[in-house]
Amino acid sequence: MIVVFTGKICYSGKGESWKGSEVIYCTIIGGTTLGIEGRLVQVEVDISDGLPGIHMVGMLSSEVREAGERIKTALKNTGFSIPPKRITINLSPADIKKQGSSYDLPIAAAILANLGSFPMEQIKNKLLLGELGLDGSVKPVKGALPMVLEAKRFGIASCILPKENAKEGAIAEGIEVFGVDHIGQVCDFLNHKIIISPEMALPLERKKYMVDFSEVNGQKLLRRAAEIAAAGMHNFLMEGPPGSGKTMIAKRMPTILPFLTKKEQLELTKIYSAAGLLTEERLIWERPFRAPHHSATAISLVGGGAVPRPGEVTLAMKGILFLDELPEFSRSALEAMRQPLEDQSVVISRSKASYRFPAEFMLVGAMNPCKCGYYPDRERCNCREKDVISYQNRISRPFLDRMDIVVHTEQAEYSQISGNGKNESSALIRQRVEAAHQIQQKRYQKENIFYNSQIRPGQIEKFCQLKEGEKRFLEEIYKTFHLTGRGYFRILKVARTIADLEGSRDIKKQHISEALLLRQR
Amino acid sequence: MDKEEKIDWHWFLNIPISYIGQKKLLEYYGNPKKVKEAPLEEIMQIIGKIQVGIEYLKTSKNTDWKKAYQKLEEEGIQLTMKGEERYPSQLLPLYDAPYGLYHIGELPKKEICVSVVGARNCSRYGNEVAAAIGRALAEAGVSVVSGMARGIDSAGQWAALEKGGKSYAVLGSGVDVCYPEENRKLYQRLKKEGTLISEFPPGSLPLAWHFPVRNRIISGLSQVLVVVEAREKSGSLITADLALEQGKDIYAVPGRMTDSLSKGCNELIKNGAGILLSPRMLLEELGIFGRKQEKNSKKSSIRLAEKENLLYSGLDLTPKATEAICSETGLALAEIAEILLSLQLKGLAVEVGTGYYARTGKGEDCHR
Repeated sequence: MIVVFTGKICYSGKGESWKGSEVIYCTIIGGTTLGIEGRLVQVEVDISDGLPGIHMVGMLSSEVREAGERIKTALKNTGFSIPPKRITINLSPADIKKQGSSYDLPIAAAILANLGSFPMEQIKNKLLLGELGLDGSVKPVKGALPMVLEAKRFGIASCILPKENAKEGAIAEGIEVFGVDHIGQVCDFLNHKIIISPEMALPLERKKYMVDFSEVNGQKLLRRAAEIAAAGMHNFLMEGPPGSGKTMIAKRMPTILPFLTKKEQLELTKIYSAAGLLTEERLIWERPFRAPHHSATAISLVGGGAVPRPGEVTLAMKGILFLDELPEFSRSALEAMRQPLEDQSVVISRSKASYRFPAEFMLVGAMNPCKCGYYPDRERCNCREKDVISYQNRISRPFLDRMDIVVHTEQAEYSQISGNGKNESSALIRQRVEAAHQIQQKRYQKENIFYNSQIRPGQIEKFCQLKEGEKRFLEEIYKTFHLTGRGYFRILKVARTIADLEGSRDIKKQHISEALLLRQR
Repeated sequence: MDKEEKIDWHWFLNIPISYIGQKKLLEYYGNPKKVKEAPLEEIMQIIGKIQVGIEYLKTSKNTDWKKAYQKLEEEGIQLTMKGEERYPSQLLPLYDAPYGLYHIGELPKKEICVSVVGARNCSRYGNEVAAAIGRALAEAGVSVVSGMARGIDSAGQWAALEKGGKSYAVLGSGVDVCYPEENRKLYQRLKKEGTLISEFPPGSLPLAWHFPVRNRIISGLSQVLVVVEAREKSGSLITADLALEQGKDIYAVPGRMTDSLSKGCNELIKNGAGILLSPRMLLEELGIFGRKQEKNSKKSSIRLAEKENLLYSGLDLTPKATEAICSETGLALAEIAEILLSLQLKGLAVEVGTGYYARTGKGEDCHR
């Protein structure tokens, strides 16, 4: 949206010809977030003769409507006197719903500019955001980063943000960000009475992950499966008795994925800023690990609500979404995830607008094989065959079809638990995974996919070609194990990843065998 | 026995009363025809006020029994009465031998029959042992009798049919009712290649009281009863008791004392049942070992590579998790994957549940 100050010329021109009464009019730039994207909003304030009061228009939600009283009191308490006139405030464009508390500061500033507290030119080409307290203090808002990024895109030179959001806004780089904590400070700053130095983004601080694969003793199968899953970004399901290391492995999955690029970091930080979940005011460097409880609803997983908010699939962007106790999730919640798993994004439509949330994540699931958790160990598991099947059937076939790798986990034996501390660290595994990712990036540079897990059935011939011997081998397997078309396809994708991990151009027999071991039954 | 009489019997067997009720009625009236003509009050005095029984006696007169019997024949269901030649002679000594048997397929004649029974929720080990016994019996030309229940019963019967042997299933429902539903495949196969037998008329539901009752026919039809796996309170133990009453030989597969699935078997052994050490031993006891030995020598020609052998020797009839195989053999997962796959393709190993592997009985045969 481009802000053009046409209104002023038109109105003031008219005003001057009217009985000489004074017409004051001012516009200022504020912002809002739609989904995770920032949008600029023009705040227009007009003060004219009439019944005293504040009138606000422009499709406002109730929290924005309340801003009038807040601002009036805040200004009074700061020592500004508001003349008994009719103040009209318009937020445009009028076709998007204005929500949130970030309009307080721009509206107050526009009123002050109208009253001549500071020269109007001072707030031209500036973005203002912030909520006001009754004492005139400026409080932080949600989604500062997406709004600053949007302002940067429109060539706005600087922005005034609440002090608490200033560092976050500075992440955008290439746009001046000034942090303020009081409305009086804004006035002084714009009058050049005080100097506020522009905020600098905090340097990227790559701390170490809290967990590491070197803490996992034994579990050869799980470690290998995790590595392969990470290498091809394959969705990954672990099935096994309680206490067999499922959660432990899942938590360490982000540590073996390559570090995020600058662009990815910014994208992720933007999402967290919009969701109001940014804990530190710096770029997020680590891949997210989201583990919603199994009582999660469909909306909390995929996003939505009256004011569409990103769901867990979006918050797990570029990282891991871990669903523990998979069969305990409600069917509707799991089924709702099928589309984001397929399209890597979620589109939420409302009558006024539709929101697109990115959802590029890796799904890691964990489940018990039956209610008691010990099947097929018949010494401990007394569940009826029928109950075991019905427990496993809680996860629908189409959902399972999206899990490329399925492994059965086992409780570690004592010799493994005690361990000798000589386990491979995440850093070492990450190196191999990184190499595999690079091979894939190179292979798919002309396609619109990035990883083996995204290969579509039509592309299988192109990217997973087999030699004659391997073809016959796979045919034999196909018949012996009564594979389905989909199962066959998944094995090829995983075999491709295993070959990539080894740096092998061709898919060989051993790759197929290993993929078969990790297949879904 | 002429058709008219059979039709009366069919009507009589359809009365929803137990064997004892049937016996009382026949002792009083002599034959079904007289029961049919008898006044309701009189019958009620003999069998008591059984609501469903009375209901049946009232309404059954409206049914065209001739047609109903015809329908049986059309569906391939035969009815054999106690006095007939086809009736299995093994059952005659039983004091409670069923008056009639509905069956699809031929009834056992003078052949040797062994019943293989056990727990429904059996272990993989039990499943394999039952299958090995079933195979061995089929190869020696012995018929396998069982109840087509889940677990041991069906494992033994499947294996026998796979080897081209004969198998009889004595059901706790009508012969036209498949119970349990998941045994549909076995049911179809038994219908074609084996025999389905029931003393309950077609259409009977698998009521709980039917099962202990039909067990007397299972043990009655066979010379030897083998219990593969049984918990402490198991239906298989009822069959064993009945077999004991009938004077049959009982063998139990021994187990570890901590295995709950072997408690019943070990208890039987304590009480004097034979200990079954191998399928071959069973054949020796029956005095028929060695009839088809050449088949065995053929199989032992399977040769395994060194690493395959290392992995295979670590496998057991009890399923082992991939993780355990990894840590025991010390091989890399990729290698294990290859070997397991080749063993599976050779039919020596089988995957049980996700990621669990066990030896197959085929491998057992080849190693003996």
